[in-house]
Amino acid sequence: MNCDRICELPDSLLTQVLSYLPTIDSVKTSVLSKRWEFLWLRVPVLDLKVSDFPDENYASFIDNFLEFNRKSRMRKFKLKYDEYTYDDDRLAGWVVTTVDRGIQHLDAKGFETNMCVREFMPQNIYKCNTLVSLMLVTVGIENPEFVVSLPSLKIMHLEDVWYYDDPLIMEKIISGCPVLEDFVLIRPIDFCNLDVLQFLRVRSLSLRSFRLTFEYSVSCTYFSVEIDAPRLEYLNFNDDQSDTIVVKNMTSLSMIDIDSEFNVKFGGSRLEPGDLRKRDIIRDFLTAISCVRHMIISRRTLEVLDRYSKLVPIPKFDNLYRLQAAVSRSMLQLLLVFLESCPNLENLILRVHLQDFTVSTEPEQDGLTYVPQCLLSSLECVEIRELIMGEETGEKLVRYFLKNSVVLKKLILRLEDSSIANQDSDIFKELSTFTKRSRSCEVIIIH
Amino acid sequence: MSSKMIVLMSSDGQSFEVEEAVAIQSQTIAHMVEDDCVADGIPLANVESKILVKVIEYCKKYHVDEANPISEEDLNKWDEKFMDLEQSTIFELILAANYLNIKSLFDLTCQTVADMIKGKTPEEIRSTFNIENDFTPEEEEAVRKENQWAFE
Repeated sequence: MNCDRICELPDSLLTQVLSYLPTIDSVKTSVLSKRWEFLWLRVPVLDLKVSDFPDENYASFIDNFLEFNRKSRMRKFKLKYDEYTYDDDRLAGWVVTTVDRGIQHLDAKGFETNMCVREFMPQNIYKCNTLVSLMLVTVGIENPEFVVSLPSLKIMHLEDVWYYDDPLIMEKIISGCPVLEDFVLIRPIDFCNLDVLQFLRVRSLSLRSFRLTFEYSVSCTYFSVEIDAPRLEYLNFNDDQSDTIVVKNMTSLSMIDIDSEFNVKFGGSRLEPGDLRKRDIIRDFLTAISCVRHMIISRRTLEVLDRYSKLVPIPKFDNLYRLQAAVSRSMLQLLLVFLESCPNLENLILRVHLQDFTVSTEPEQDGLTYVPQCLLSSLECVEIRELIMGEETGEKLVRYFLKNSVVLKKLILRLEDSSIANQDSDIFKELSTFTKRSRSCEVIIIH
Repeated sequence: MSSKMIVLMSSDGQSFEVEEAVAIQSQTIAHMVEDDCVADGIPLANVESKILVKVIEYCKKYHVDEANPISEEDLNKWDEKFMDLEQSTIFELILAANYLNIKSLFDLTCQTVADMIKGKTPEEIRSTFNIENDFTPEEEEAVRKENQWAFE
C-alpha cells in the first residue's frame, strides 16, 4: 500500500474531515476504496441542496440517512430548497428529528411556492440545549408555546422569515438566548401580513453584532424599532421602514454601517423645521452611536443628516478614526460639514457616484473653501474609489485634499476605467502640478 | 511584567518554552495546568518537534491581546499562508490538534483537507492522496449505483 499519510488517520478523524464537506462530496468518497465505502454514513452532518438530486429523491435519501443513524447525534443539518419541487411539508419533520438528536447547526432555506404559503418550523426549535447556530431563510416560525430556551445559541440569522401574530415573538426568542452574539434579521416584505411585528425590540446583554435590514415597501408610520445592547460592537442598520427608531446603551459600539432615510419620506415629509419628533429621533440616534470608531455611511443617510443638520448641529464623533462614505456630485459641501463632526478622523474612504437624481436647491459651489478640523490635524489617509480621472468631481476632490490636508501621508486613487493603463504617466504628470500642502504625501493610483 | 512560562517537550526530546497563556489554547495542556502537573515540563509523546514548532507558531498568532491586536480578516489571510504545507505535515497537524485539543486549529486543518476533496471526482481524489482503489470494477459500479445522484 503506497497510500500517503491520509490513510494513517484513524476512521474517527477521517469522518471528522468529511464532516466539513457538503454531503454530495462526502458521498463521493464511498468509491475511493473499500476502507472509505461506509465512512460517509457515519458523518453526523447532512448538508444538501435539493438541486443535488436530479430525480428529486432527496426525501428518501434523508429518511434513509436519519434512519441509519438513528442512535447517534447529529451535529449539523443544512437543507436548501434551491429549486422548485413539489412541496411536501417534509422540512418541519426533519427539523424535529435532528433537533432531537442534539443538533448544533441548523440551516434551512425554504422555497416560496406561491404567495402566502410557507413551511413553518416546529416548536422544538425553541427548546434545544445544543443549538449553537440557527439560520432560517424563507420559512415561517410559530408563536412560541412555551418559554424559549436556547442556552447555547450564539448565531441567529433570520431572513425573509414569516411570523404569526405574537407582537412579542422576537423579544421572547432573544430573552431565551443568553449567549447570543451574532444576530442578523432581514425582515420580509409580507404583503399578506402587513401589520405583523410592528414594534421590534432587540434587547440583549450578550449581543456583539447585529444586522437589521427592513426595506421600505409600505407608506406608513406604525413600525418602530428599539435596540438595547450594551455589548454591541457592530451594528449594520439598514432599516428604512421604521418610523420610530430608538437605540440605547451603545457603550461598546465600535463600528456602524448605516443606510437609512429614517422613514423621512413619509414619517417626516422632507423634515420640515416643524417636525420636532423626527428631529429628536435622529438626534438621539446619533448621540447614542457617537462613540463609534469606524463608520460606513450611505449617500441617502448623509442627505437626511444634511437636511437635519440645518435644524440642530450633528453631535461630535470624537472617537471616529475611520469613515467610509458614498457621495454624489452635489454633496461635496455636505461632506465637509459632516467631516467637521469628526475631529479625530485619520482614515477617509469616499465613493463617488456620478448619477445625480437629486436636484440641488443651492447654487453649485465652485470652490470648496471650507476646511474641517480633521484635515488640519489628524487625517492621514484618503482613498477615493470609482474615480474617473478627467471628470470634474473627482478632480475637484483630489485637488481639494492635496491642497488642504496638512498631515496627509497617503492619497489612494482607485480608478474606475481600466483602459487608462497607459495614461498613468499623464495622470501622474497632471497630479504633480496640484498644490500639495503635505510634502510627504504619497499618491497611489490603483486600477 | 513577566508572564508565566511553561516547557513543552516533543516526542523526539526537544524542549520549547512557551507563555502559559499561549499554551493553554490547548485544552489538554490547560487541564494539566489546572491539575498542577507541569513543574518539570509537559511531555507530549504524540507530537514530534517539527510539528510542535508549527503548533506553537499557530497558538502564538492566535493569542490575541493588546500586544498582538489582529483583525479577523488578517487572521484568515495568515491561516492560508500557514496551511501552505506538505500533505504529510497537514495530517500530522490534524493528529496534533486533535491530541492537544485545539479546536480552531483542528477546524482549520480539517477544513483544509476537506477543501482538497471538495468538487473533485473520485479519480482526482485518489490521485491527490495517493489512495489505492481496491474495488473490482463490478464492486465499484455497485457502490456508485447506491448513490447515483452524487455521481451525476
